[in-house]
Amino acid sequence: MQRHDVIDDFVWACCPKGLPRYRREMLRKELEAHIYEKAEFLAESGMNDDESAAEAVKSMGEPAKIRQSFGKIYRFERLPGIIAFFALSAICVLAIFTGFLLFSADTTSDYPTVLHYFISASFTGSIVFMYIYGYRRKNAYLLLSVTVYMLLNLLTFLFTSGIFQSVSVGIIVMICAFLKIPENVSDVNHIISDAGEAVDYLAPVLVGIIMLVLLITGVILTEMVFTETKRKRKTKKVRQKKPLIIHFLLIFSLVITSTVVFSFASREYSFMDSNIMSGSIARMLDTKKGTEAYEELTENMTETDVRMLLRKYGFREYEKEEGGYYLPDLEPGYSMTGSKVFVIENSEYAVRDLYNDTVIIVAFSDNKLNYKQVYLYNKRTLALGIWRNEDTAKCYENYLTLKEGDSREDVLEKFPLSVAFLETACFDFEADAEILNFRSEYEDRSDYSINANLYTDLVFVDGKLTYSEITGFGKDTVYDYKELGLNKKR
Amino acid sequence: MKLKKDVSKGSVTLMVLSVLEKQDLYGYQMIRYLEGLSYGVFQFNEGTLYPVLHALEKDGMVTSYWDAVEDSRMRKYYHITDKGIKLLNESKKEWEEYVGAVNAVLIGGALNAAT
Repeated sequence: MQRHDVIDDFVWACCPKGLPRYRREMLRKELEAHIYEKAEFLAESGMNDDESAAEAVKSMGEPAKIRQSFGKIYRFERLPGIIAFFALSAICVLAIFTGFLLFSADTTSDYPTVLHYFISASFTGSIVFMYIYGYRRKNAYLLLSVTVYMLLNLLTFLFTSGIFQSVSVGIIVMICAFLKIPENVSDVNHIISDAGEAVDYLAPVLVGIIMLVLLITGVILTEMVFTETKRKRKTKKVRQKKPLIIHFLLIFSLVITSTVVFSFASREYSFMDSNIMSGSIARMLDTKKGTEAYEELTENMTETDVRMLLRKYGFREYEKEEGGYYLPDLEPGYSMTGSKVFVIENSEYAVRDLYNDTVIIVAFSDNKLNYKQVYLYNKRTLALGIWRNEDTAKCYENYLTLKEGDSREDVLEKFPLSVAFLETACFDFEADAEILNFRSEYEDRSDYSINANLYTDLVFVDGKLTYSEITGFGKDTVYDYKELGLNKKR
Repeated sequence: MKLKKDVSKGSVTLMVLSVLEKQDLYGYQMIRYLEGLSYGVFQFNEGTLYPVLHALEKDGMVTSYWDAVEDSRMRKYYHITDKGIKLLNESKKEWEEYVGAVNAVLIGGALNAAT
């Protein structure tokens, strides 16, 4: 008996969507065999082909009921199909996101702005169009091509922007830090360096493996979801041309454009440096070491001793540039007359706006240390926009509990890193006074006009609190400074 | 008399297992068999048989295998398992109790009406 569309349509209407391919095929074959046999039986009893097919289909009952029943029985087998749908949707979202990246990339570069917008809009539009078109037409090959293309885009972006490397190195260094392998900054440097080299060697292999896994997963999921394509081809008895060459040419051309476009995009958007995460972890140690170095500097140390000590903690004295160092303001009232001042930095991991310098200023008189000051520009712990000091209100609450005569240790316990960070520390040996300045900061990176800072100045003489002052500034929607009585500008 | 539309799932299960106890059958054959045995009383919406068969297979009451016939058409045959036979025996017992109870009510009702 020849094939009938009415039978084929009925059979497919009985198969729940989202089932794995083998399951749908099995259901289809079984129902089809039943209906055709019944139709043949009816045809033998005198009906013509079309009538017998229609009657056989009618005797099966409502396809919706059958589909629902099968759906209940195999409900857990539908899960991969659902996941596939969301995975494909995620790819679509990724296309929009990358298009947005291109769109919002720096327009000060050397190509016309109109072309820039045109490219980004075309990119996003074409990807989304191909997806919608491919999905509606159940064209598994097109969807697979676009999926591969987007995955390559993603990997290219991750790779060329350094995110992949920095995350990999960061993970290695974090493991080392967790195992307490690094004992000082120098060790961390070696670990980062070694990990960086290892990742550089392994990265292509890792990318290849990830790519392969994603590709295989993509093929399987695509096949599972879009089996109708093959069914329709079989039904209409249309010999489908093998699209392999076209398919690979398509992917190849997409890869080329992908590489060009995303190399460009990631260069424009290289907000993540490969050293960020590794540097951030090292900075966690640097902060501590910077403070420890400051603590170890004692009065009357010689210039050589000070240099040796700071070198031990990873500091180095930079060559004096033309125009001299930028000297942070020394505390008012301190006289530098007759003193030899050194500015020594530990700023190996300075990355763009991620402050990490630890600057120590030392002053000598007659080759004896008579003043020390440290600036700890370690604003954030881990990179990726995590702020260290968000709780400005807590800082103020702690400040209110301070009393004159409190010991240095007790006071410092009230200003842990979660509340505020030690921004500067000065010691004037002549006055035997230590001035610590804590800073608590909130800043909304999405809107730089929203920021708030609290500065807490504490003065200790002979290890006892003698003076404290808190000031704040900044406009902030989160913390009401008027309420705190801190509306005066510093 | 013809019982059209869907027969309740429980009785279909019982009937399916019952016919499979005698021999392996494929879906269409099973429908014809049931119609014949019931003298045409049971006329399924034929499509509803397959979810029942698949549910039984999933529960391990029956197994299935494909077999080719002369014109190279493939048919899926179902075979009852030991677990299925056990279920069949239990279901038969329950069915007999149910029918006995219904009969008792009907006969009792008839006696009351007579008196």
